[in-house]
Amino acid sequence: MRFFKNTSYDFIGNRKFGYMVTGFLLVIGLISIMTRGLHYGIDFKGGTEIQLRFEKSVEVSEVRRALNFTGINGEIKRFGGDNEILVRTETLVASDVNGQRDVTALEDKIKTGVAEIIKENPMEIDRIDDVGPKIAEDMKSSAVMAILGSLIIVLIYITIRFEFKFAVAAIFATFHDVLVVLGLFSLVYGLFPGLNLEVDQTIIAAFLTIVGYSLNDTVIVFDRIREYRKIFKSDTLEVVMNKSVNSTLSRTFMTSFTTLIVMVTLYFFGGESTKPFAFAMILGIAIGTFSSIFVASPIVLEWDKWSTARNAKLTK
Amino acid sequence: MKQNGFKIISVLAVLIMAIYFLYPTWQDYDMKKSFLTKSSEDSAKYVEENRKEIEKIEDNRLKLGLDLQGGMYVVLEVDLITLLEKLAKAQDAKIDSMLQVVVTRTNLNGQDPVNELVNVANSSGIRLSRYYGNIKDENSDILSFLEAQRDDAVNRALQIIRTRIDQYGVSEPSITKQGAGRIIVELPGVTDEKRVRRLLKSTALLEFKLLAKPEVALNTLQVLDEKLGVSDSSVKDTATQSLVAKAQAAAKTSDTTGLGPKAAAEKELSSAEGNAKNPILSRLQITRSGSGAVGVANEYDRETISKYLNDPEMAKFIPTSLAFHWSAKPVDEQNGVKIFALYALERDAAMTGGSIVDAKATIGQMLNMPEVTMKMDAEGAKEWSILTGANVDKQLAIVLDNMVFSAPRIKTKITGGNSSIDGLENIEEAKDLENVLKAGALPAPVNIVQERSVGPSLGADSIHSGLNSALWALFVVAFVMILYYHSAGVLANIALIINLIVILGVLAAFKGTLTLPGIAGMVLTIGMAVDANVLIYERIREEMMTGKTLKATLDAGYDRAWTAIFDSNITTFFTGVVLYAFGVGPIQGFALTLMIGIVTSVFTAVVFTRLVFDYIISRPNAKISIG
Repeated sequence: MRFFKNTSYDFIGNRKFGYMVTGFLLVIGLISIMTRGLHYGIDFKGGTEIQLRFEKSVEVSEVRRALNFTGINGEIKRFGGDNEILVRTETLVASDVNGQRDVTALEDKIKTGVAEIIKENPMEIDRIDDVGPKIAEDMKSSAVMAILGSLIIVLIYITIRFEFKFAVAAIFATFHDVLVVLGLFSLVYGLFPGLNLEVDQTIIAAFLTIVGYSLNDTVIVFDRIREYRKIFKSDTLEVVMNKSVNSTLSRTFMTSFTTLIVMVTLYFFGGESTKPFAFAMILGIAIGTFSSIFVASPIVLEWDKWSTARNAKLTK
Repeated sequence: MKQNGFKIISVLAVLIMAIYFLYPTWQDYDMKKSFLTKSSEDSAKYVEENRKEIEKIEDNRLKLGLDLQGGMYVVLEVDLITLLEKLAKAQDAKIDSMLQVVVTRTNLNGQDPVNELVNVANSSGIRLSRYYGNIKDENSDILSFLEAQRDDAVNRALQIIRTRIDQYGVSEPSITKQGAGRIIVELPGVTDEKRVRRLLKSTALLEFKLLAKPEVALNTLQVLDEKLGVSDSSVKDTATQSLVAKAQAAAKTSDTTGLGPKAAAEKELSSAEGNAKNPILSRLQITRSGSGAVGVANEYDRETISKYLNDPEMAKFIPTSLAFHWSAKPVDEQNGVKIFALYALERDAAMTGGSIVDAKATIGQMLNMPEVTMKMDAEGAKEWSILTGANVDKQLAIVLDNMVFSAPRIKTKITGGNSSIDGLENIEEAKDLENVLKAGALPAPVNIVQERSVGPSLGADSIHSGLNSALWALFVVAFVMILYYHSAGVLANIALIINLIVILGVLAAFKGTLTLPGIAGMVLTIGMAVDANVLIYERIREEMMTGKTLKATLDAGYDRAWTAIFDSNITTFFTGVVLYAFGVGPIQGFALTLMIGIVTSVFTAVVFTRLVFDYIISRPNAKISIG
């Protein structure tokens, strides 16, 4: 079997189409981030998350009633199966002598409320995540550092292996991918019931993986451009780029496809907590593949055209 | 094929190493499985007979993260602001307002409060020597003084937490220091979170207790043994039941849960040896020397004896004036097994450590031996002189959180509140004792700033869904590869499986832990690992169209694909490094598997598949099918 054998699509010539698509995605994403905002997980916001597992299926409203009974007014939603519930409180429900959040007291309150209101359905606590405000602040800053740090390292590496022009283009394409996925996260938040599209540590891990993946794709195209520029010396950069994108197309498709299907299996079989990660990765792979064709190389080309034009002007 | 000798050796070496490092994990799995079919007595006997070996296996097996086996991850922060408040010689509005500024700033930037205080003082031109250190000191001297105090306080907290966790009896706990004032505690298999929280947060209790009369202690132990002999059948039954439950639970969760055979074995040792007439005294070697301890026991027997001593049924046979305490540190070691001392003390503390103002480990001038000097406040000194006066020549145990750290003999009545403790082995021991004594003097409260607890059933679910998704991913990718590349696809799939084995092997070799994000990383690797092979195959297809010979095609394919493989993988590797450096806990697990996966996939694609291709084309009438 073989797809994309000896193709000669005019990707670079049609780069305006690419610009439109990415421009559109970027703009609606940014608008959504500005208007709808991003929803941070407790990793970055601080708070307590408690996952409950009932023996039989349970209604969210029933649990809410039970928790209100003991004075807990957090966010209560389904998490996974219909006997699983996630409770989240960002505000201080109970504090200990040192003024710190008291998880034991919170736990007791939940247990009392459930025992009182939901009688014939025993419950156990599956997971407790408690993040203090200071830790949350630390995690947020290290997440930003991580993303910026990785981009800078890659910028340096690609400059050494290729050219500065290429490095900037690759970084731009990658940053674009992260931004688009972030925008989509904001846009589709709440649209899929049961999918918690919150930005937390796991999503940062997904973003960094997208950075890695998208760069991987971009670098492979660049590698081919580097090679073809030596072979087809008489061709213009645009022609070389088109040849390169076309000849790597089969590989681009194949790798994106295998990575995409593993992420789809992870989404469906990996359990509740890896779903947002898999979702981010699926978006990221799709967009990363697109940008390595339609964003990275065209930027190098535009830059090259601009600098040639400027040089021409200067020599005049 | 001759020129490939090195490659063959390297592939074989990598595979053998991976299997070697994974073998303990397999042994562990196998053993846990066998426990399910054996009776609990048989398993207990097996565990007892092979204890050393089992511990070795447990030490070397691939560890599961807390999110997979259940357990508790806690980040504690030593309250350095309170420490700074307590240390201040003068309490006035100026220092209060400075500390207030420090609190707001450190909450925002997460910096170390000590540095921040010095910054605040510097920027507003305040001399800190008014509050700390000597009056002539510059702020920079004060900084190093406060830093030393801070490190002391954190080390003290660390020691207190270690002792408590040790008493709590968790298998494979991990307690580490992070940054200036944080302590990370990881407790696999813990289910009683409330108790752990209480244990970690409560302030340390330092007490001085007089030693009880040895005869009374021995009599009590004899009485307990008699009573235990009588009630033995009931003890045995409950112990057996709990073991069966535990073994089943362990098998259910994952077969590699942290509550391994060691804990289970200890639980049931009582039943296996239930027929021993003297369950306590048979395990305790009575000491006749003047150390002050009743006896010594090895670490395993210690747990069993503690169980009997803490049994509420047995408590009524222990005189109300008597309390048994273990030594905090092993007194000896035999063939790698630690020996602990059991002390019989008076139940009521003769004095608490609250009146200690300072303690210092030094080299004594008289004997030129390490010693610890201790200073008490005026009120404490009075009490101390009465206590020491009335008990000259008796031993007084220093007990922190129910553990005996030292039991020095009172040589003379001590007036004035300045005492020194000598007869210490080395300066480290003196330093430890200094820390213990200071626990009463300078309590720096410890707060829980982050907690992550996962129940065993959720952990089991996560393992299940993680493995499930990995298998599905593997299956689908394998199918696609065969469909697209035919027999070359089969080869890529073999490479993929070798890849997964090597990733797990490397993880086990570096004593890494497998977490749920780690499994996600492996799933991702399944998708991305074929990339290197895809690159090569696509390149070979391109080269085939140019009409080269088979060998030339292969050479060109591999050679030309190499730069792309190298450059693209190394950039992904870098992002993995960054993720590892900035991420915490489970995320590091993801970064680790991702990084290992990148290296192994490049290795299998470039070395292993090439080797197989070379072998194929070395035969007559060679043909390669890559779809």
